[in-house]
Amino acid sequence: MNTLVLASELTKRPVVTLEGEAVAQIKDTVFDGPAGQITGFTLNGRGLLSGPLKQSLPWPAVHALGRHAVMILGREVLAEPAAVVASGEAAGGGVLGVRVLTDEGTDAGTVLDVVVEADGRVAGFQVAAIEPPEHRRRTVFIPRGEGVAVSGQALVIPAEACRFVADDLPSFTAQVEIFRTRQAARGTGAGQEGRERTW
Amino acid sequence: MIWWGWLIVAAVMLLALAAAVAGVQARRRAGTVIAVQRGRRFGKGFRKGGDR
Repeated sequence: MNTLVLASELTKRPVVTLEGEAVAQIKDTVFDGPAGQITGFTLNGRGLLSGPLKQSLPWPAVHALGRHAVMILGREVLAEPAAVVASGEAAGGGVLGVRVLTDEGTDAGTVLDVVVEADGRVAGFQVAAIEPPEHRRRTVFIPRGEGVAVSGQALVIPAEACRFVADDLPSFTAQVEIFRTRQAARGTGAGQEGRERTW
Repeated sequence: MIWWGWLIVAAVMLLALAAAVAGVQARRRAGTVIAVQRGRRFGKGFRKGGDR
């Protein structure tokens, strides 16, 4: 599995061409909710006095999503903002802070961050969870299930995903693997034992 | 102009510069995560060529 990174850690990461020119820095991370895939990034200019750029970075133009920089082939791969997100979508599509509901109607908390892989897939969500029965608050990582629905009001996840939570990113990697194996096995009808744990 | 008049001019210029920087920083709002729905522009159940 690829290295996991929080979307908030991508913000302000420099966008650098393979010639070594830093052309921008990441502002927003945009992802396709149903597909669970990053579609691109909106950009800020470099420097104190530069505002948002009238260009965006579509995911197919990303050469590498590195630990310290996002690499692109050249400045020419940058596209118009609508190639990544339309202005209406940007206004109503914010995910951070929205309520997390399971498909069984249980309130699982609120979204703190989105966990992405280096290949652009959304692995899951960092959630301020509400622990039953005492309703204590706790930060956990929940894998993204298939058919996840997300809007500016709520994120709806499969209830089964809540049985594969983790407390930190390293252990979350294993939980995501188990969850995906479990879902794939369910798709083929085969049984699979996972290391289930819930909050 | 009396000498402290230049102080007022300098102060106003500094204020204008600070406002410009603040404006730019506001436009450079903190990044966020945005969810979009690609391939579902026509709603659930849409079939290309119309529902039959």
